[in-house]
Amino acid sequence: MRNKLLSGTACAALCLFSFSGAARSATLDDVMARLDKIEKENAELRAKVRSLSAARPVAAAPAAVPVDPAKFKGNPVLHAAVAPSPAPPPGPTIGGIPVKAGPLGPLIDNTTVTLYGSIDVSGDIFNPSVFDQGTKLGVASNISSFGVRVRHNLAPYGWDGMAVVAQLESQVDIASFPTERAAFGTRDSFLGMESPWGSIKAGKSDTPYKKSTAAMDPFTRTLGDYNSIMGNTGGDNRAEFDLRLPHAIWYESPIFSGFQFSALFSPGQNYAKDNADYAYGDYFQCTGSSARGSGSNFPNSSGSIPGNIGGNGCTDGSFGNAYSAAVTYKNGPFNAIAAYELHEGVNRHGDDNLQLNVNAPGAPGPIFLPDGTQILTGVHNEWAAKIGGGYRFNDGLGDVQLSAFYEWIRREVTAIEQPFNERSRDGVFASATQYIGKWAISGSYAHAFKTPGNPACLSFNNVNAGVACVADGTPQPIVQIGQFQANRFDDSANQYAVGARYYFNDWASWYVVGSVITQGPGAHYCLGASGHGYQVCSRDAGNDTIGGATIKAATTGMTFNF
Amino acid sequence: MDMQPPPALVQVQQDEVPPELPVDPAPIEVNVSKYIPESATAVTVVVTLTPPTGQAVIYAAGHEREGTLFKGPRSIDEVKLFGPIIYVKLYGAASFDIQYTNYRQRE
Repeated sequence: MRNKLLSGTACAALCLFSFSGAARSATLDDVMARLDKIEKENAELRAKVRSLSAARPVAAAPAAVPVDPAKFKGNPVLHAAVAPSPAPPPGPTIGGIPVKAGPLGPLIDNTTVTLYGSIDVSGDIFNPSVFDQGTKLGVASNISSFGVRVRHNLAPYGWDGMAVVAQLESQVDIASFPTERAAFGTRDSFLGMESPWGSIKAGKSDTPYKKSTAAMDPFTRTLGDYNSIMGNTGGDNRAEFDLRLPHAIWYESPIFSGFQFSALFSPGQNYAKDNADYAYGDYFQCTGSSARGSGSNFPNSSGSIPGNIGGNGCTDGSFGNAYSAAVTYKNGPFNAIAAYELHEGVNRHGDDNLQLNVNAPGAPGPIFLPDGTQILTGVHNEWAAKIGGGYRFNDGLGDVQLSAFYEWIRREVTAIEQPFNERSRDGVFASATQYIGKWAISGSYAHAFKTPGNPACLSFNNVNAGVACVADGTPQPIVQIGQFQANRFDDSANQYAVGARYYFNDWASWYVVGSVITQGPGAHYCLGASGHGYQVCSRDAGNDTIGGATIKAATTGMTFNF
Repeated sequence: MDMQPPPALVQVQQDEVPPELPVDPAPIEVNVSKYIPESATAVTVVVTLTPPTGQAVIYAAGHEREGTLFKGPRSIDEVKLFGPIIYVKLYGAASFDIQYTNYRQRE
């Protein structure tokens, strides 16, 4: 019995062992199979998730829906389907500060601060064809600038569609010795308000007259800049009607069906009735001149006389109230402009030496030309007007931009003053630019018509240039040893410029420009006026002005805008 | 003896459909060259959005990260230009209206 029990127990144990071994074998296979399956499925899922993640931006940004603006009247461009997302994605940040489009994030609620700048540096070679000058090399910083632009959105405060705007812009003379002409706020700087009904701003700004044709010049800033002639009344290194006016207030309309109107007023606010002094708020800087430049009366600048306020030293183009207005129109490939600017009471006693100076009585006195005439220039209004237009088309190689405008410049003098009036003339400008891929190839032409007169003697292009005209009130030969009476000679001029620009991208470009100016014996135009880092004029080492010099220059440079 | 597979694996195996990704709105192309010069570097616009709680991001072609955010019902701001095309993305807005008020050109 005991043996039976033992054998039965052993048999049961063996059976159990053998059954359990079989059962274990079957379970492991199943698990392994399941695991294999799961791993495969897991790998497939992982691959799907990865592919979906990688494809998300593409899938999330369907093709743009073109909108034909021709379908709508005026400016409106509109209409889209309802977008499902609840809010725009958060913008990028730097150090936790939100950054919008390069501009810094809000320093004040609903305020955008933008840092921006433009750098233009060139290497030049030029020859003014003056006997003691020869060919020279130069490096120039050309209207390089840095600025801060601020926009404070008023919509969250109940002023829908309105914003406070401010700008502080400075010239940056990165290639020359630093002076206060590159101080902060020397360029367009203002505080104003923008709204759907237009903008009102106050501060200093390029005039509407200047801005209306600025884009027509493919060689702006270079030695081929059109301001050698256009807007340049005296034919020297200053373009009187290409100004940035200080202490000004201006209005810019919204764009109605392609039309935009802008108007600027700059009160003269001069200490002197004849505008011979500085304006209130300006020191050692006459209105209408560039900082430290000709006519500024900055101490030791060309033509300056001693004295601060009350010195009556602003006699080379200083003016009182100034008004500037422009209407621009653009409709597809066609654009047109009309502009007008008035300078009241422009003091040019620097030419006739008749400025009364209460602090230096007896100092002024008449000046005579060789033919015995007394120079009379006085204080008179000067104005300029221009009309022009442009057309853009594609010639198969790329877009072609054509532009042209005609300009009238006048100084309203009396008949007796006309022989000395070098401020009244017409001018014409035309330019063409062919775009081919990243290249832009341009050419331009400007012509200055003759003026009624000239208040000075100009020098011959030789070593006698410094020998002044003999002029004592009695008739003399108008052509003398070193100089000649300019108003007896043609003072028309032509400027030609050609060049090419290569755009590396939206921010950087390289350019090369060649320009030449030819002029009559009575003219003294410069290259690079009112745009280039310096001007190339027909002056000898003694600062004598050579009449009729042919000036040639070539320049190559880079620009970087941010 | 527990014969069940690991719960985590079972969970993954059951989640056949990947989670739905948020959808970015389709950009709407606008050509500004009719009224804005090709030489303009920025355009100032007043944007009106319907409904007024909507928002819009407007940017130049290829410069989405430099876009400008406009909040409804009506706000004014500047959009950088790199050519004549800008794009508008609407967030919670059904329609929009753009009024050009000004533009800026490099001197």
